Amino acid sequence: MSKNSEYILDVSDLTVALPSDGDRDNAIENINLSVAAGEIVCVVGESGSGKSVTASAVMGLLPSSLRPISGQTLLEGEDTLNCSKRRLRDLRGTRMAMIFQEPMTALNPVTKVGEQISEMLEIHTQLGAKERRIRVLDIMRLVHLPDPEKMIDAYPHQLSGGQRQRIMIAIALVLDPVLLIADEPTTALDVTTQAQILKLIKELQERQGTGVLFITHDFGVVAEIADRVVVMQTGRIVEQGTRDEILFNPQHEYTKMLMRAVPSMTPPVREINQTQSLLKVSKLEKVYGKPGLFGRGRVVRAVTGLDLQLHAGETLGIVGESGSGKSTVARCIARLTDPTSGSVSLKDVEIANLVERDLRPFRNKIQIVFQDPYRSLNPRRTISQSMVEAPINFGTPYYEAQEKAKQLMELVGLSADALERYPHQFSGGQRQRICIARALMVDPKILIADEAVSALDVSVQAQVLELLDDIRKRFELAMLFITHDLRVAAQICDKLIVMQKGKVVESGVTSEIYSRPKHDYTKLLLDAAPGRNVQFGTAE
Amino acid sequence: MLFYILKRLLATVPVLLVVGVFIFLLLRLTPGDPAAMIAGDYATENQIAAIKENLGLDKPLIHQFFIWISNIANGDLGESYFFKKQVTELIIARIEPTLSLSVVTIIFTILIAIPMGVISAYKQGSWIDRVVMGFSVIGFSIPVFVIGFGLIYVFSLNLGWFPVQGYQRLEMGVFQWIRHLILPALALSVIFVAFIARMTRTSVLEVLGEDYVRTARAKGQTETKVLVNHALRNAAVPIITVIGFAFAILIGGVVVTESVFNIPGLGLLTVDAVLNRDFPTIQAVVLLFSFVYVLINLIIDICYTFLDPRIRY
Amino acid sequence: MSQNAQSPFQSTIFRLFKNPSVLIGGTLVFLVIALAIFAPLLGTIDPNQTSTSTRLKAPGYEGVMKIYTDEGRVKVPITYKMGSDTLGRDVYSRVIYGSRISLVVGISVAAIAISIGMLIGLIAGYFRFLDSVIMRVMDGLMAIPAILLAIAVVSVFNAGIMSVIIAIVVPEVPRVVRLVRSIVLSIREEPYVEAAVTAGTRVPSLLIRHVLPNTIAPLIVQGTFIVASAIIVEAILSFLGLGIPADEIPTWGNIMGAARENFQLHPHQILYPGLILAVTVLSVNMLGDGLRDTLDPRFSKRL
Repeated sequence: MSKNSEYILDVSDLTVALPSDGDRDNAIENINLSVAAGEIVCVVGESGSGKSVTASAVMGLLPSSLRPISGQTLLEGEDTLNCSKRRLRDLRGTRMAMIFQEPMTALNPVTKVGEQISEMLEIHTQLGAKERRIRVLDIMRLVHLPDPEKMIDAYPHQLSGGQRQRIMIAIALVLDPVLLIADEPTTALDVTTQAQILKLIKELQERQGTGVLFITHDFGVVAEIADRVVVMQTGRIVEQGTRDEILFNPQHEYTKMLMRAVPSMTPPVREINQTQSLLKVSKLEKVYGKPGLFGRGRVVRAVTGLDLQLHAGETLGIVGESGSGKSTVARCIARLTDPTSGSVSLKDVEIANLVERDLRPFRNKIQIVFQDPYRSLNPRRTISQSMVEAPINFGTPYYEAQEKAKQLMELVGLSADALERYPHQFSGGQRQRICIARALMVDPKILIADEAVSALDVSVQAQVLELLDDIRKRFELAMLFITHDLRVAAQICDKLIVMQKGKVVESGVTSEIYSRPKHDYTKLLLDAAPGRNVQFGTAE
Repeated sequence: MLFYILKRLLATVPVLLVVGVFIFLLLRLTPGDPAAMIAGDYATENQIAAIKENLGLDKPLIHQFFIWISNIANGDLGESYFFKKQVTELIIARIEPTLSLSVVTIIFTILIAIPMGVISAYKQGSWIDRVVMGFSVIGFSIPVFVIGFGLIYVFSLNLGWFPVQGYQRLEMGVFQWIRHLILPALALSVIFVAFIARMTRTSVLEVLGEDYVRTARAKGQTETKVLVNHALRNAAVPIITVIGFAFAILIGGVVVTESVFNIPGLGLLTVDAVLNRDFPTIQAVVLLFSFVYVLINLIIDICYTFLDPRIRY
Repeated sequence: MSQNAQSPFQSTIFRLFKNPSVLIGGTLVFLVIALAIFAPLLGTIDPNQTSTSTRLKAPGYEGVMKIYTDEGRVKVPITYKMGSDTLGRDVYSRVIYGSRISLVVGISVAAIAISIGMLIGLIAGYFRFLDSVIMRVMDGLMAIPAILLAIAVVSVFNAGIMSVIIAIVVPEVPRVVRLVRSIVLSIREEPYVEAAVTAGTRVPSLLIRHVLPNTIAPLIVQGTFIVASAIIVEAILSFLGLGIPADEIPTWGNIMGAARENFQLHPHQILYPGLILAVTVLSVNMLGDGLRDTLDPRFSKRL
């Protein structure tokens, strides 16, 4: 009659210490959570919240630098934290299983996928080779892999990301464990693939009655599949409850803040003024590779026949999945890559094919903010040095550039004394602000944001989006916003272009596209967005 | 897959070409007139001129290069200035000792170095690891001939277990053959083992940190099988790559070791040739060794196709 | 906001001095350098001074050297701390003075190889159209085992320090080129370099400001290993009789080379120089290992 017997997983008072040079004492502290049979519990939090550590602790897969110092993790009443290594090995796969974030690296590249599934059976059962093969084919069919008879002999690199993740799920579920731990399993996948995998997990979980502990940072995913939600911040649980409670009636300040920060899928109504056209792109093409000897070369058509126009004071978004060509478009416009053909005219000046020397005077007109804030600033130069590089190239005297740098730092919400510091002293969000300030140093007319908020936590993301919007209005910039995240696109883009495999499939005003999508692919994308119909936070 | 092999084969051509051109040019740059050297100190102008014409040394450089290449293709490596014999003959006579020494060293090295590296990586940070790493640094630091003499001092002069120098042909009896090879092979293998053990350790460490090793553990696999089936199967490619590179060290070491132990192989031939400015021989031997080195690395490249399916498909 | 207000450079220097390999290796290297510089003050005599009456004496022998000067025959008392060689020269003095050549050769080779290699590597990494040609040539040079290449080069010139240095530099350059090139190729892709491109920075400034600083640390590590390798190769060349002749200047290699014939009865001539050679190279390698662990583990692989 103890509480434990109702729960598949019962974690109580779990504390895991960090090594002495970490930024806090404990990776996670006093964690209490539970998962019942047949329920999906989402553990959600920003980076550094400790959610992955919690998951690894249950499986006993913590790296040796992280030591559990108290608490217990009861799997069907048995404490996995304090049991023998032998027992832990027996439990793994049979009673509890885990799937990870990166399907490519999680599979052994030199072994056939069928063998990797079969390995699970070899370790824990006495089945013979023929029987194992039957079981493997069965589970492959169960996870909806096409043509299992052939695929069983394939190698991981021959499969797509979604297929690899299905293999991982097959490995995890082949022995029908009572608990599935999923650590950000869809974060590295495209939105349409993610939708399929989420559906699969839900389907299998319902069929076998598995309890699922699902780690994620994406509230859309939480909205889509969670039964209950656990919110973590810097190693502690801040709030937990049912899905509806957390999403629509959060109690804790942090949760409320998070809910507010998640962009809505409904684009706000925007005024579209007719302003001057700053950039006109037509028939842009980018082709990589050459047909090799014997016709074995691989030719990739990254962008085909693309037209777009940027107007002052307007944000044009390009959305698409990986391989759609959206980043390539941005790079061609910024002339970081040279287009194969087509025209890019900046206020009637053709810049697509200018040589570097002739292009240079125009470089200041188009500036770009990149995706990875940790690699966008030279770690050996002070912020000030990075900021003044561009204006000095264009002839601005040093003192003037310094003054401007101070002003812009304050504009983006940082103090002027940040200029003398080094990048490693700033957080990801702060670095992105610095990059925005740097881009503004040369008074560009066009600002390209290439997945500029994709690497940021949701709370920071909201702030940076606000900043970008603000800047666009203030300086009447044309902004080209590249993203794969439909929520972000909804929030910030006036107009939108949807790309698939290098071609534009639909374009127009954002609110129109979201409410009345015309192309099948657009419809697919919008449907796939997790938590599509959910309005976060208190009903506003 | 055949296509891949063909590609790798073709890739060796420019490399060999560069080697050939380099060696050819290098020895044409030598001060001194080869014709005069062959003719000897008392030769007349006419004799020297005749020799020059005979050897084609009066033709333009490019022309000489092509003659040289076609000769090599036909197996004619020229005539040694010093020994007054066909270089090809000299080489053939000296191959067996060098080959014996190399093969014994390689087998010994691989049997010792790879397990050392693997264990060291697996038990990273433990005393075993430290000892192996320490040994490896020491192994790099002491030149082959110092080790050679050290071994001779202890085992030949003091203990009398092994002969001080010399070589016994295989056909004269296996026991003596091995007896003469043990000390040289040991001396030669020290640096080889140090290098390979360290590189093996690095490769295995890298692989042990990969995600699929974590997956294997998450499956409940035993540590031994994780190491062997998952880690080592993936570390195999970098490890054999390293062995391929290490052959360069081996070849260099062979030259010195033969000198120390007075083994009449290709290495000693090289040294004698340089001391006597015997350019045809120097050219031929360096070319031969380079060719062998390139060949070995080509074979290793081809081995990849069996070890790494990403290359096959 | 500010954790650790030091510049990346300062924090590296601090880490450096805490590393045991750097400390031990560095101290030993320092001692050897001191040995070389202060050679005349360390109880040595002229290393080339022969004395046919006191040939091949054992270490510790106290005797009298008969030296022929302008005034005639002079008798000089001497204690051969490490014995004497076939011409009566004091092995101890030769070994101490030998450190000079080894260090000079080692450091020169490293400095020259790094400079040339860095230049070529930068060009190969940044200018695509030159890259294939340069790398083919480098591959070709690397196909010839290093010692053989050094032997081949040294056979072209007359024996002497310069030819030995050139001979050892040639096989080391391709490895440096490869290292620099790989760094350049990866840094080129970094967003902060692309940001500099959009800022209108010209290629020379790009290379010097953004790319080059990333090569310094790996090159320092590589340079240290080259010093060690060069010392060994010089010793091997001199030992084989292909390097610096024993009559001009003593080097550890040629001391051992000259001592070969008498090894059985007089092993001290080989063992003493061999020992100090090993210790020197060992300490340089230790220093290199320590530098690599602190400075830049990512790029500094020995190959």
